[in-house]
Formats: sequence, structure tokens, C-alpha cells
Amino acid sequence: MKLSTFILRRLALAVGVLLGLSILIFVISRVVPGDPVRLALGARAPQEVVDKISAEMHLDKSYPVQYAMWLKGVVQGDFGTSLYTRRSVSQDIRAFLPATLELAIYSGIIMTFFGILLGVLSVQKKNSWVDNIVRVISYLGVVTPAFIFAIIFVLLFGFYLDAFPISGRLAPGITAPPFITGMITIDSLLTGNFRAYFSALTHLFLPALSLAMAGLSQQARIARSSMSDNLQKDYILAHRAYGIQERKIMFKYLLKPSLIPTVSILGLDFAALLSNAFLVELVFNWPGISRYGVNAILRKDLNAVAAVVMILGVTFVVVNIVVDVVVAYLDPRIRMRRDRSSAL
Amino acid sequence: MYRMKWVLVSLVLVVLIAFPLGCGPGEYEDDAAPPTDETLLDGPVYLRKTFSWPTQIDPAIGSDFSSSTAMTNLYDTLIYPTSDGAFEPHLAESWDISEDNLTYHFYLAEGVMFHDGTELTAEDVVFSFERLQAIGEGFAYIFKGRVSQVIAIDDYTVEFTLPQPFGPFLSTLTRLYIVNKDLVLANIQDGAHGEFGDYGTGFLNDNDAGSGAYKVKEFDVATLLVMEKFDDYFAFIDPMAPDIFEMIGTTEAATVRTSMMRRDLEISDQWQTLEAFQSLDGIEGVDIARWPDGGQLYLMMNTQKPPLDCVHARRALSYAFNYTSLVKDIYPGTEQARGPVSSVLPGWNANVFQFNYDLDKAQEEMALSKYAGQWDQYPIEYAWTAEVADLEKIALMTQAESQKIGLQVEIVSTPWMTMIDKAGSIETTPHIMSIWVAPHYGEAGSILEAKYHSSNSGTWEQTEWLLNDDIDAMLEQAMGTVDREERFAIYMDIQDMIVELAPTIFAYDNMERHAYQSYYVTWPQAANPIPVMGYNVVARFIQVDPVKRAELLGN
Amino acid sequence: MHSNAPDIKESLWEKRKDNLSRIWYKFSGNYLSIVGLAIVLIVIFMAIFAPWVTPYPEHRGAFVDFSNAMQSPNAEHWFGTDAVGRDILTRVIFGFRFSLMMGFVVIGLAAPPGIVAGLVAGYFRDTWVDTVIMRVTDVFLAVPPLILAMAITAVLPPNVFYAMLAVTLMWWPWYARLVYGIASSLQNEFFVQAAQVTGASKAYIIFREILPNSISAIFTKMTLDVGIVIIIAASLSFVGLGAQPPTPDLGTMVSDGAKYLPDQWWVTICPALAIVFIVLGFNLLGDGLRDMLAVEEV
Repeated sequence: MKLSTFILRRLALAVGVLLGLSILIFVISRVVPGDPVRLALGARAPQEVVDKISAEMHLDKSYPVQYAMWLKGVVQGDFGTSLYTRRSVSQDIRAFLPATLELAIYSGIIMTFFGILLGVLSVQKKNSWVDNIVRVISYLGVVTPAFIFAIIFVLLFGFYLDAFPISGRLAPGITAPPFITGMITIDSLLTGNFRAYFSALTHLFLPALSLAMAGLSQQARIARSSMSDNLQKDYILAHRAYGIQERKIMFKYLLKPSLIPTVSILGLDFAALLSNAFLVELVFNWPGISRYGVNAILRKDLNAVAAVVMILGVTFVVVNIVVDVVVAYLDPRIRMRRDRSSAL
Repeated sequence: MYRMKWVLVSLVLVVLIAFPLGCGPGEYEDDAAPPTDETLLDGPVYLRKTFSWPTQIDPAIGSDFSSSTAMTNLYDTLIYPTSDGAFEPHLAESWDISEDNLTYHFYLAEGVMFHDGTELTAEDVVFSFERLQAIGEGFAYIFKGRVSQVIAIDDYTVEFTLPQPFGPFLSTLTRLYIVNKDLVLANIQDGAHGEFGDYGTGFLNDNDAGSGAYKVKEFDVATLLVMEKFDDYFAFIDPMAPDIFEMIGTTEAATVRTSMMRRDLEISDQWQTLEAFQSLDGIEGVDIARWPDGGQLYLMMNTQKPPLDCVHARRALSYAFNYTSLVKDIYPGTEQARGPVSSVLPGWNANVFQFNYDLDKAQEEMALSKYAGQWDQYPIEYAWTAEVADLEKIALMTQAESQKIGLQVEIVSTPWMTMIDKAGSIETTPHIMSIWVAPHYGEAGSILEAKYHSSNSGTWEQTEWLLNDDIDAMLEQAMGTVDREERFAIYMDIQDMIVELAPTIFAYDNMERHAYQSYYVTWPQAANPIPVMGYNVVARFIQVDPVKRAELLGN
Repeated sequence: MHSNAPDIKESLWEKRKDNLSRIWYKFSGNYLSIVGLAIVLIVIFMAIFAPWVTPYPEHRGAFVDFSNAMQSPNAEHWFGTDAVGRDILTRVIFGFRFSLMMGFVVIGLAAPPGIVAGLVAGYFRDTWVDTVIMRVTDVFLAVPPLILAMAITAVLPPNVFYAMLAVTLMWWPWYARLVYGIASSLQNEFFVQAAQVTGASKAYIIFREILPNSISAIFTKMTLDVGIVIIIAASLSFVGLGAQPPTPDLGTMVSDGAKYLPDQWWVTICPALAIVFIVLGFNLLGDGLRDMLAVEEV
């Protein structure tokens, strides 16, 4: 089918999914017993004040109406007020989301780059001790949850070796660059503040590595297996017969086609990154949206929880669409396979 | 050609990622210890301390430890407490009291400036009081029903009229923080107070309208409060006081420890575990300051919730608590509490009955209870503050001991914010909540009133829901007694009554402890603490020596 | 006349034995799978017989002994003791119970409805049944699972039961997807068409033809999933949404112990290694199964 049709269908699906998610969130948040207004105002606020605010928040209307108003607010970026910070949730999100995105992006880079590199290394020296070590590491990477890596890194690099910082985004005493994207690495590069850039990088390293380990291992294994499959193919044999150097074969003719499964896994791995970010954010005291979400859950700050789930859901859906489109573009077979598996 | 592309791509990636790997250690250390002394000594002097969060800086709303600390630095009060439990003039240079003790005139110092450059006058005092009462949160309960009106006689004279004598009145003024009326009124939003709208609660949530030695520079409500020195402050600021006072909202052990080691944290919070304090003590140049803060750790029991609505059940739990282990293993160096009032507070009853750890007596009490034999139908829910890890030890200990006498206790780790929420109504308040409460002014009445007068029920200071008219009456009688000796005599009686009712397990007299950089920080209150919560981390008295700090880092 | 037809029963039994030994031969060729199987069996055994296997079984409940708190690993306490004096090895083994329970219960609850949904959708391909079922699974699959689980636990009291419920709710779509893929690809196989031609009912085809052919893939996925669910459960506990104290729970133990790094490192590292151990076992076993059963779809 045409690429444009494919994209349109994916978008339509995405919208449907997000609507479904929003309904789910709304239902969940209204199921909670207790009076959210009284919770926000405190036990000693006079009843008239509680009633007045309830009316303002449309809590006296029927559920579908409430949902419509809530959705309207969400689309405009208004998620209500946080119980904890007592300011608008969208302000909180604006403050915390870039930190998680920065972490996810950096993690993604580490994961993809080093994962593929290790996979290539592994295949080049297949069955040697290098290969075996990589295989062991990548296996451990898959079975160890991100928070355990985080703790081990804290112990090893933070305490014993004292090589990397283990909390926060910047060393204290370094002024943060002005908020352009909210991501300190980018903002500091844009404003030429190299001290801040390096400080931010060193603070990013351990959390990003912890998060990346699982994906890295996955990528290494997949790259390795897909490359070793392709190695058997005839066209490689032909190139060899022609006398083309091994390295060129490796990178030019082998890597690209082998990347397709890697890219399609990327979407899933990014989901894993977003999901596991909160574990790593907790250990490293990283002021990201996942940590904010977890604290909101523990404190039953429902407006914040709903907002975080929606934002993460949207991010996830968007990334998936991008990945799907890229993959479909790279490999028309997948477009057709997707055809078969979705009966619309 | 192809190779060039790959080389280029790899180089870029290497710079972005692997560079820190190579420069990692060196670069990182650079941030913490710049090469030359000059760089270190440039720039503002910081005082940084960690706190449990959230912090509410609105004087009509904040009431806990971090909030009181913030408010005391940002705002001023009419009088200022001293370390011996008395007080001295502050905003009010002098005052006189009428014969019948019902009218007070305060004569304000002239030329006191707010942070926005306007002068503090009697109008502001009147406004602050009315605002506090209207909003009704925070410390409002201390004054509720005790003051019938406040008026400005002239620009520098304020008159308080009381409906009946209120003994400790003057010392309670430590909790009336004066806000800038004009600034607040210029920033009101829609709200429930008619012409006053929200009374400025939106604005004061993250801004200050004060006159204190420090003003808000930056307030990220979720994590960090940065205050900078106010040079036009009317009272004393130590010449070596920090330029910037940062209150950091985390109690994470790893963060505190590494920050202290790198000299990026001057004072730690008081909620670290015993083990953490031991490690912190081991850091060169760091010592542990400790003093009795006049408060206690209370295991507050919801007296309206079965089975704890039965006094015998509560007495049983009071006997089943292992006080010995508590003061030996969990909080070494402290003493078991005797009654609801700490032994360092004036007005303490040294002869009040004291429970001891005795499982047999516990079981005797249980046999007398109306719930005898049905204990398994009444599980007890025990909530402890998640941010303070040592409280889990006490919770587990209570659970283990209770099991020995046949009581089923379920322990629930609860974030502080949720603890405050749950305290709000009888149904949501768990059976037991373990919370420290410290006094607001230097005598027993502060604790007794905060903890046992029904007007303060439903707050984190009082989750017992005692709602006892007799105790209310006695408390009011005590408050109305102007003579100190007589007042204290009534306090003693109240303590006896309360221990009879056993609404609370009185664990131990709290020793506030903080790790601090004793090598370059001089902290006068650590040696001479003021028995009012929030008045011991007052930046204008604390000396931070950047030269000595540079020395430590140079090593 | 004496029949030459072999005794059917006996030959069936022989065939089974033959099959099993062939399977075992294939399986045992890969020594990693054996290691995986061994680990899983050890863990299951220890979990079942925990009260008898552990040195201090009473430490799993409400127990404190401050005089023995924070002992580093030694002869009496191989994994040391925690902040209130409980033996960590004992608590880790009881923690296995909780992890295994989470794993088995969640998979056991999530797989059947997922499988049925997938079968039904796969068989009724290109009809509205298919569309509805697959759209619903799409919604569930579109959200990062952990986030959905957390959102659910946000509104419910934080305890084991609700955490399991949340994880189950976001797990079933994976089985639906898997089975749907297999079912729809099998649609065109001869044996299905043959069954249709001979007039077999839809139910028969679904349950007696398609399902048995999906078993290998399902079983392999289930084994691998146990590991993943254990990680998710540990992650939820790490955050504070797991079992309430004093119930031993590996994730909670890691989280509680983290604040004592680096001096009392064993309090967090020992349960952490235990988690890795158990997940490693299930993963190795699952991989072995996958290789052996030649399953591609998982």
C-alpha cells in the first residue's frame, strides 16, 4: 500500500488509542473515594468554600460532562492543580518533562550506538572470547532490571571509584543555562556554556547507562543474530569473491539490512526506557517527570497522575508511529505484514 | 569515502558521549574543587541544608518544621524567643499591658523595611492577624478565640484586645509573622474571601511578602527554596552570614552523604538514619550537633477508632512498647519520655505516671477491655512517615511486640504529605501515627494545647481526636491564668489527666540532631538552642567561612 | 488368525517415551538451558519448602532483634542481617515465594483470556469480531505497561493484590497478539482447510486444530514472561507499591537497603543478586525451550 495511506491509518489508530486511554484515566481518577476538593483545601476549610470550588471544578455535573470538560482542558494543556505543589500541573510538567526526555534520548543514543557496536564486534570475532564476553554481558543486561544496575553503578562509580556524580543534573555552584528546551545539554551548547555542558553530561552518564543496559543488550543480541544470519547470504559471498575488504562488507553491505530488526525493536525499547525511567530517576534523584509521577501516585495527587500518564502515553504513541513509519519505509515487506495482521 | 562518513559520525558520537568518560573523573572533580583559591572565594557564600518536604512559606498556611524555618527567615514577628524559654523585643521595641491583662499595646520599631522597599507599619500587623484568622490554617489555632480585635492606633502602635486573659499570649507571638499588606492586596486572585479574594494564598505559595533577613530568590515548590540576604534588614545579621540560604527538599541518604563529602551541603536534615549519622560523623570536618528540641516522638492513637477507643487497649499498647530498646538501640543517647511534655520544657510534671515495658501488665489491661477475646477482628493500622527510615524500625518493633500480646498491627509507610492529609478526619486517621511534635513557644502549654485541645484536632500535631471537654476547659483555664506559677500548676494537673487517658504512647524526648560542617560553619543555636520549632536554623546568625571551606577542598 | 497389528496402547507409550527422550536429548545439548532448568527448580523448591529450608524462618514475620542488626555476611548469617536484625538469606528465600507467586498468578490469569481472544480473533479474521478484539488490544498495548500499572495502583490501596491486578490487566494483550498472529497464519494451512471442508465446527477447529499448534509458542512465551513479570513486580515494590512489611519482598528489600550504601552494602546487594538469579534462570530456560521447540514467533 502507499506510504501515505499507511501513515494516515497509523495516525487514526493513534488518535483512537489516545482517546481510549484518556477515558481509562478519567474513569480511574473518578473512582477514588473521598472528596478531592476537601482533600485539596484541608479539613478545616469552611463548607461554603468547598462547595464553591466544587462547582467551579464542575464536580456536580454528570460524568460525561465532567469528562468533556476535563478533556477540553487537557487538549489546551490544562491539567488542573497539583495537590502537592499547589500550582498548576502543566507548570510542573514543563519543569520536569525535559529532564526525562533528555535522559531518554541520551540513553537511546548509548543503547543504539554501543549496542550495535558490540553486536558488530561480536560478529566479527564470532565465537572468540570477545564474542563470548559480549554475549554474557548482553545476557546479564537483559535479566537485570534497570534499578539494580542503577544501584550497582551508584556503589561502584559513585562511592568506590568516585568517578561520576550520583544525584541531580548539575553540580551545585554551576548555574544552569536559560530554559530553551529544558534539556541542559542542548541549552548549554546553544548558549556556549561549556562548563555546564560537561557537568550535565557527567551527571547524565550513570542514569542513562543504567537505563540503557537492557536495550543495549537487546540491540547487541539482535544485531549479532541478524548480522550472522545475513552473513550466510549469497550476496555477501559474492562481495567476498570480488575481493572487497572485510570492513567494507561489514559496514556497507551487512549493517544496513541488518538494522531493520534493530529499528523495529527501537520502538519497544523506547517504551521500556520511558517505563523504567522512574526507577532510575528515584535512585539518582533525577528531577524528571517519571519521578514526579511516582511521587504523585504515592501521594494520591490525582491530577498529576492523570497528566503524567497522558503525557507519557502521547510520547510513547508518537515515538511508535515514527518508528513504524521509518521501518515501513525501510522495508516494504513489513508494511505488507502489518497489513495482514490488522484486519481493518 | 564511505569510511570518512563513518569516521565522522563516530567522532561526533564519541565527543558527545565518550568524552565525559575520559574526562569524567577529572572534569567532575573540577566542578567540586576549582583549581585556584580565587575561583572558590569568588561568588556568593552559600548555606545549604536538606529538609523534609513540602515547604509552605505562606505564614497563614505553613506549620511544620521546614515551613517554620522558612517563615522565620523570610518574615519577622513582634517578639523573638530566647534560648531560656523567654523572649525579647523584635519588631515591637516595647509594649505595655493593661491592668486587667486584656489590652496590649505594642510600639513598633520605625524604619523597618519590607523586601519591596516599603515600610512596615501597624496596618501590616493588623492585616497579618486578620488574614491568619480568616484563612484559618497553619498556626491560626493558637490565637483562635483568644483575641477579639487588633487595631492600628497609629503608624507604629498596635493594640490587641483580648476577651479574657491569655497567659502565654506574648510568647505565642512567635507565630504571628507579619506580611506586607499592600503587596498581598496587589496580588490577590479569585477566591473565597469576598473582597479579599484568595487572600493572596496563590501569590504567597511561592513568593514572600516579608521583612525578614532573607528574601525568596527562587522557589521551585517541589524541590528547592533559594533565599538571598536582604541587606536593608532592620536587625542583626552576622557579618559572616551566608549570602544565600538554600533549603533543599530531599532526605536521600546517598545525596546527603556525597554532598557533605564534597562540601556542597553545610547542614544535613535531622531525619537521617542512625547508621547515616555515624558515617557522616566520620567525615573529616563534620560533626553532629544535637540538642533537646522540647518536643517528643509521639505514637498518636486515634481514640475514636475501635479497638483504640477503649482506654485499656491503649494502656496495653503503652505497656507493650519497648522503651528500653528504643533509647538504647534506635535512638541512643535519648531518654524515655515522661508524660506528654518534654523534660526540658518549663511546666513539665516530673512526677507524672510513666509506663514501662511490661508485657504482663499489657495483657492484664487487655483482659479488662471490652474487646477482650475479639482482638483478631480489630486489626490496628500504624502509619509511619516514609521519608524517615528509622521510623520503620519503631513500626516493626511495635508490630513484633504487639504480636506477642495477640494484637495485630499492620504497618504502612506513608509519605509526609499523605500523613498530613490523613490526619484530616476521624475516618481517614489511622489507628496509630508516629510523628514528632515540637513546641511553638517555650512552655508546656504549647504542646498541651497543640496536642490535646479540640480546636487543633485534625492536624498532623494531633491525630488522637480526644475531643475531651474537661481537658479543653482546663487548658483554657490555664491559658487564662496570667501568673506563671499558677499556670504551671494547672499544666501539671492536665498532664496527669492525659496520662490517665493514655491517648498517646510517649516514646522519647526528642534530640534534634544534624550533621554539619563544623570546620567552616559556626552555628550558635547548636550550642544554645531556642525551644521553638524553626528558630534554630536562622541564617542570619550562622557563620559560613569560605576560606576554611576552600582549605578543606584544597586537600 | 493372530493379528500383526502391534498393541496400540503399548506402541503409543513407546512413542511417547521416544519423543520425550528425543526432546530431552535436544534440550540437554544446550547446557545453558540445563542451568536455567536447574535454577528454576532450585528456586521453586526453596520457595515451597522455605519454612524448613531457611535458617531463621521466624524472621519473615514481625521480628526485631536490634542487638544483631547490620551484621555483615558471616557464618551465622550468610547474607548478613538488616537494620532491625533479621537474617537476609531467610528473607530472600521467602521473597522468592512472593516473586514466584506474582509471576505464576499473573501469567496464569492473563494468558487464558488473552489466548482465547487471540484464537477467536484469528479465526474470525476480517470480520468485525477480529477488528473489535484487535483494537482493544491495541489500546492496551499502546501504553507503556508499567505506566498503566502504576496509574491503576495510584487509585487503589497499595498492596499486593491490586498490584497483581494491574499487571495482569496489561499483560493479556500480548498473548492475544501472539495467538492471533499464529492463528491467522495457520488459517491458510491445509489441515485447517481440510477440517473446514469436512464440516468441522468453528469451535472444533479453534480448539482442536489451531490451539495445539500454538502450544509451543505459548508455553515458551509464558516461561520467558515469568522473568519479566518478576522484574515488573520488583520494580513496583521498589517504588513502594508491593507487599507491606514485614512480608519479605525482593524489590522492597532492594529499595529499603539502598539508603545504607555503601557501608552496609549487603542489605541491598544480596536481594538484588537474588532477583538477577531468579530471572536469569527463567530466561535461560525459556531460551532453551524456544531453541528446542523451534519457535520463531516469540
